[in-house]
Amino acid sequence: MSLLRRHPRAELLLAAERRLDAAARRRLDAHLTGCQRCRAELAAIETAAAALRRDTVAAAPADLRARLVAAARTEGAGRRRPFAAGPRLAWAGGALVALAAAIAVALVPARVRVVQAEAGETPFERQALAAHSALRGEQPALALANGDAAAIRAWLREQGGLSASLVTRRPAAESARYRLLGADAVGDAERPVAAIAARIDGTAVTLLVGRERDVEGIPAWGWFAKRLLVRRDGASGIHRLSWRNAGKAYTLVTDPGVRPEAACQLCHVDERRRRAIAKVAEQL
Amino acid sequence: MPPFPPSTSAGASGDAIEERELLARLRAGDPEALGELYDRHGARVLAVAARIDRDSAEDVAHEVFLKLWRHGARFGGRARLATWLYRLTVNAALDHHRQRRVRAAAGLDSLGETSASPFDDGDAARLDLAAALAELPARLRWPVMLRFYGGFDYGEIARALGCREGTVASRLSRALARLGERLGASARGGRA
Repeated sequence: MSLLRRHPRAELLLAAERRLDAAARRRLDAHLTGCQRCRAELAAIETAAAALRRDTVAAAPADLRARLVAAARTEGAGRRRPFAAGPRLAWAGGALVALAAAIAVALVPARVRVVQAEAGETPFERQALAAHSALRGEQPALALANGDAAAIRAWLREQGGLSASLVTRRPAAESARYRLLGADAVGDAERPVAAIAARIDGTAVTLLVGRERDVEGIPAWGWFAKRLLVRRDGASGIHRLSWRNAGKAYTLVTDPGVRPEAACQLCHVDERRRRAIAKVAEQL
Repeated sequence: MPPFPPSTSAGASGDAIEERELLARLRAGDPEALGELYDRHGARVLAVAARIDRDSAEDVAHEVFLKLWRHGARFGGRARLATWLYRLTVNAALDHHRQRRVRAAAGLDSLGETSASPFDDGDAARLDLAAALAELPARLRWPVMLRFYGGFDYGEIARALGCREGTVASRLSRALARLGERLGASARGGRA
């Protein structure tokens, strides 16, 4: 006899998703034994779910991407600006945003947690250090000797889909301080890794990027915060910062003289992020 | 391998932060940020558009991403960018589909003819699935598309559609049951 008095539609979906716990699954199985209708419905749900899983998403065409970026470039600054509402509404919206931001700043803890580490350097960090040594000279040999952030990002995509949020436009006061030199491939076809060479106030900085699945020992995200692994060589003063993000693993190597938080700004100019970086820097 | 698309909420905070950066760059007028947002969402936008109107999927995606470029700052970050993009996609795809039906009715176009499309791989099972999805009423089709092609979790679908999570589960269940019955019938018909 069925242990469930009704037809358990919600449980059928959970069963198809394999999210029922053992006890609930036993109750459902007992119901299914005596209910042809639910057996048929579960079979149908599983058939549909399997078909949908097989219906993989095709890759987005690259030529459409190129057309979009070209169109955006053509429209440029002439595009319409957002929030065409009247001044009163804009003011009210601004006040609400400010209030929300104030509450967020007051309540939300720093979203990056620093993990200090002294020993147990990972192969990826060693690779970053080696790449940094090779690229810190006057005229490093680079596969892509182009300091344009967009060109580097495009080149990274060709290296097994790597990515880095390098800043394209920087406030004028800073643009002379930050200089991208280009990028070099330091992995292989099976395990693509790229090193991005930069200078901050003339001092060498190297950002290594690989696919998360190829890299071990870099801490994963915590519940509420990105974990940032930090090492500093007492003798050389060289910092290494490692983290994961969006399927990629990164290690940033900075020569003495460059504060790691300044190097973080290779990728971040957003004011809120800068405040977060400054907060993290206090822990470095 | 997870049986369903992995939840996008767990571990997605990094993506969300990076997305905010991309939106900040977009607002600052960096066209390459649009390219990067396309890299993130293009395939799924195309997939959703193709499930509504296969022939116009690329046009729809083009339109949606240009809207993102022109009006991206209107997206206030209250919901995921993906939710906003998929709403735009559905509206644009339905518009295209309606226009094509009107043109077909006027004898200017044929709904039966399909242009070359990245989705037109001649796979009968896939076409069956597309047809079965198209037959579902919108209130049932949407949760399926957002769950399987958009990778949304129940909470995100509920927020996107303005209903409760329980309603999402119930609609998903009914939608999948109908789809499964339809696909089973097609398979039996195909074998006969």
